Amino acid sequence: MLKLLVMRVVAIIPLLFLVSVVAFGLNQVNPVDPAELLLGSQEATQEQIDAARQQLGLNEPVVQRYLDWLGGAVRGDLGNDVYTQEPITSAIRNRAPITLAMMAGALTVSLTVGLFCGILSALRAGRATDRALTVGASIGLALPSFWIGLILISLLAVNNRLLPAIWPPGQDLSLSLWLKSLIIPSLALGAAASASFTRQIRSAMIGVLQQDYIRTALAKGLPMRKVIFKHALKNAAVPIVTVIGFQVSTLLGGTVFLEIIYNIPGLGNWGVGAVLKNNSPVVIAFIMIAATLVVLVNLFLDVIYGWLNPKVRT
Amino acid sequence: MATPLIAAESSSLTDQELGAVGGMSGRKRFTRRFLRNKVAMAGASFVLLLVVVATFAPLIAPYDPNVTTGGLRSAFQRPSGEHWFGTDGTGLDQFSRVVYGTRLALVAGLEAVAVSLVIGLPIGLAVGYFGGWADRLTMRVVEAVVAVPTTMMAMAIIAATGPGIQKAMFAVGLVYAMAIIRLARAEVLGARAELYVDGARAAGASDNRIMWRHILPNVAPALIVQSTLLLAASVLIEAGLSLLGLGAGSGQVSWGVMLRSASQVIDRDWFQPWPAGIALFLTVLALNAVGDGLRDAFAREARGGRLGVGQVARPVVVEPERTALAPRPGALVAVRDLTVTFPRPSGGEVAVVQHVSFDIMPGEILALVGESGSGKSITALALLGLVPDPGRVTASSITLAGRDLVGLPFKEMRKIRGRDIGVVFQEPSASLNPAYTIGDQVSEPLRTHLGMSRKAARARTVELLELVGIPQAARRLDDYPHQYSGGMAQRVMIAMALACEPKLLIADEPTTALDVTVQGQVLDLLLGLRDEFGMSILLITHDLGVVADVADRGAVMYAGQIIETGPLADVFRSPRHPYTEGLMVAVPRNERRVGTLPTIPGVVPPPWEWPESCHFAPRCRYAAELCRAGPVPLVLDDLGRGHRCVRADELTLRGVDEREAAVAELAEPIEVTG
Repeated sequence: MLKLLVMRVVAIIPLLFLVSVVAFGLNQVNPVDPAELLLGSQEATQEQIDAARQQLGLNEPVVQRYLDWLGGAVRGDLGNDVYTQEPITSAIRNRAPITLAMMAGALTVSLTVGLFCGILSALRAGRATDRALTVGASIGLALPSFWIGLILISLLAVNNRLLPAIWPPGQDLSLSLWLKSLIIPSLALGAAASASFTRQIRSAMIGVLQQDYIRTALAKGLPMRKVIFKHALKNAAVPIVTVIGFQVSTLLGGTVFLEIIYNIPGLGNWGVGAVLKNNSPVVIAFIMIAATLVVLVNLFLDVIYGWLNPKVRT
Repeated sequence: MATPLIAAESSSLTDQELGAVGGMSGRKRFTRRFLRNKVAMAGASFVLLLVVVATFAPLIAPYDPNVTTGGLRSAFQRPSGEHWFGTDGTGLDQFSRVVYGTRLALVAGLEAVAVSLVIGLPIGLAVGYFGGWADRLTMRVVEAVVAVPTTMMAMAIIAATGPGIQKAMFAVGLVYAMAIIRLARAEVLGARAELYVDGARAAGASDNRIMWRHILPNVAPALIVQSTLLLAASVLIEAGLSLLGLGAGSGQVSWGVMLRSASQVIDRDWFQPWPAGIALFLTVLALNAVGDGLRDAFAREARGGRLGVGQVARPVVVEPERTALAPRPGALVAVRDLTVTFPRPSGGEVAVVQHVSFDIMPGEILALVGESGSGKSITALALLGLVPDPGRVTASSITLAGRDLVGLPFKEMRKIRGRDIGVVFQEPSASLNPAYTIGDQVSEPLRTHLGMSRKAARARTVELLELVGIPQAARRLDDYPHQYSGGMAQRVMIAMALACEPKLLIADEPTTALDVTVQGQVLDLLLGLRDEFGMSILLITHDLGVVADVADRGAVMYAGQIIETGPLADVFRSPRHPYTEGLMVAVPRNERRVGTLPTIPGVVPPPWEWPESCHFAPRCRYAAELCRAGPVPLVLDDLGRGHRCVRADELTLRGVDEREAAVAELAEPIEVTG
C-alpha cells in the first residue's frame, strides 16, 4: 500500500509538468502582445512597448521563459498579475478557500443525496420508486447548474435575510456570513452532481447485489441493514470512489459559472476575468491550480480505494 | 456546469456491454430495440423537431430576434398572445429568440463534436493500433489535459484563441477530443485482442485497411453513443460559455446570451431565465435520452437484479397431489408441494420447481441430483426463503424440527438462516465477500445469532477454522478471501455454515468448482462433520460419483420435478424411472461425459416448454400414449421409495452398483451434463 502510494505521488510530478507545458504552450499561441495590453493599446510608443517587453521578459526565447517560470513555480512563485502586479500566489491564497468551500459543500450535498437515492433506487429496482428516481436523475442531469443558480437567485434574492443569494459586498466578511453566502451556490452546484451520483450509485449497487457473496450474507441470517450497508456498500463503494474523482473535476469546473452568477470572488471569477483580459500569468496559474486540486483529490481517493479493495493493498 | 466530460466518460461502453454488435442481424436487432424504446424515441422526435425549428426559424419566429418591437416600453412583458414567452429587458421577443437560438445551439454543439471526432478519432485509432512511444506520449498528454476540468481547459484554450462562439466551440471540441482518443484507443486495444484482426492481417490486409475497414465498424457503436452524449454536453457548455461572455457575443442569438441578459436583470424580473433555460433543458434531456437509448440498444440485455427475497406462501388452491404424502415419522425436514414460479417477460408465469416433496431424517444425507436447469438449486434457495425477487414460492408445508416455516416474515426467517440451516454454495471464492477478512465473515453468524462478543467470536472462529482443517488458522484469520485457494475457501464456507451448529446443512454443489483431489477432501470433511455434529445434509449435485460416495438417500430431479426418490442403493441398482436409468447407464463406463447424455437424446428443455404431462416423455424411449395423457403424480410407498412414471410397473430398467459408481468417481468425476 505504501509502495503504491509513493508510486502515485511520484507519478503526479510528470503529470503536473505536462499540464504546465500545455498551459504555457497554449499561452504562446495567443496573438495578443501582453506588453501592448499592459500599456493600453492606442497611445503607447514603440519605445514604451519595447521597454515593457523587456520588463516582462518577453524578449527571451520561449524555452528560457518557460524555465524561468518553472523555476519560480517550484519555489512557490507563480509571477504577478499583469494589471495589478499583485503576486499570483497571494491571489490564490485569498480566493481558493471560497472555491474549495463551495466545492466541498456541493460534494457533500450531492454525495448524500446520491447515496440515499441511489441505494434506494437499487433496492427497489424496477418498481415505481426506482422509476421515479431514475426519471428524476435524468432531469437533474439535463439541468445546467448555472440555470439552477439563476432560478435560485430569482426566488431568493428578494426579501431574504436568512441566506444571501448574491455575494455580500465588502472585504472582511464574518465567517458565518461567509459560510451562509456559500450555501445557495453549493446547492445549485450540487444538484446536477446529485443526479449523476444517483445514477452511478444505483448501477454500482445493482451490480453488487447480484453477487454471490450477498446471497451468502443473506444465508447467514444477517439483518437487511447489515447486508446492505456492510456487505453491499463497501463493495459498491469501489466504483463510486472512481465516480467521485470525475465529479470533483466537474464540480470544480462548475464553480466558474456559479462564481460569475453569484459574483463570488473565488478562483473561477478570477480565471474568467483573466481570460477576458488576456492576463496570461493568471490563466496559466489558474490551470495549474485546478489540475493540482484534481490530482490531489485523486491521490486521496487512491488511498480510500486501497482501503476498500484489499486486492490492491496486498 | 452539469456533467460534460463526466457524463461522457461514465457512460462510455465496455467491450462486454457491446457484445454482439456488428453484422446485419446485430444491426436489425439494434434498430428494433431502439425503436421500441419509448423514451429514446421521444428524445429523437424532439431532436428532429429542433432541427426543423432551426431550419425554418425565420418562418416560425413571429419577430426579428434582434429588433425590439416597441422600444423600452415593451420590456419585461409577461407571456401573452402577442409575445408567447414575453419580452426581455430590451423589449425583444423571447419566443423568437428561443427559436433562433436553436440554430446556434445545434450548430455550436455539432461543431464541438465534429472537432473532437476529426482530431480524436484518427489519433486514438493510430496510437491504439501502433502503440509504442507515440501511444505513451499521447496518453500522458491526454491525462494532463483531462486533469483540468473541461470548462477550465476550454477557458485556457479560449484565452489563446480569443473569445467568439466558433473559437469557443473549437476549444470545447479540442478538450472532448481527449475523451474520443481514450475511447477509440481502448476499443482498438480490445479489437486487436480479438481474432478477426489477426485474421485480416493473415489475409494480407494493410494496416490502414485493417484500421478503417475492420476496427472502425467495431468502434462505431461506442463512438455513436459517446458523440450523442458529447453533443448534449456541448449544447450545455455553449450556453455556459456564452453566459460567461466567452462564447457567443451579445449581438448573436443564443440561449446562453439570453441567460446572460437574464442574469443582469434577475433582480428585476424572475421570469427572464425561464424560456431559454427550458429550451436548453429540454434539448439536453432529449439528446441524453437518445444517447442512453442508443447505448441500451447496442448493449446486451442487462439483467436487472434487486435485493428482494419473497417469503414462502401457502398455495391458494389446494392441489390434489399434496395430501398423498405423510412425512416419515421423526423427520427433521419435511417439505410438501414446494413450487417456485417466475413471471415471464412476455406475460404469464412459469413454474421452475413443481410439487417438490421430500423428508430428511436427523443425521441423514439426502442427495438431490439433476442436470443444470432441473431446479435443484432453486429448491435449496426456496427452503431458505432466498428465492430472488420476482420469483414466488409456495408450499403446503416446510417443517424444520416440527416448526412450519411457510409464511414466516423476513425477520423470523433470518433467525433460522445461518442458525438452524447452514449453507455451502458452489463457488467458494465468489461466495466470500472480497472486502472483509475471513475472520470477520466467519464470526458474523456467531455474533448475530449467538450474541457472542467480538473476542469470544474470534476465539471460536479459530476453532472452527481448525475444525475444517485450515492450517495455522489463528494466523490466517485476518487474511482476505483472495489470499485463499479454492479448496481452502470452501473450507471457510463450511466453517461459516457450521458456526452455529445448524440442524440442517445445505450443500449446493460444494465440490464442483474444486480440483478433483480437493473434492475428495472436502467430501470427507463433510462426512466427518456429519458424524461429529449429527446434522442432516441436503447435498445438491449433478455428480453421481459424489452421490454414490456420501449420500444415504437420493432424489432425482428432472425439469422441476422429483421424478424418483428412495434409499441410495435402490435408486442406483433398480431405477424405476427411465430418466434415472439413463443417468445410471452412463456411470460405470468411467468416461468423462460433457454435454448430452449418450443414453438420452436431446437436452433438458427450457421451463416454458415443459409439458403438463410427464416432463420427460419427449425424450423418453419408453414413452407411450398414456405418458402424454396428463400430469404424473409422485407415487410413494411406506419406505419412502417413489417415482413419477406411469409405466414403472411394466418396465424393467437397468441400474448400476452404487459402490462401482463411487469408485469411478475417484478416477474422474462423472458429469451428468456440461
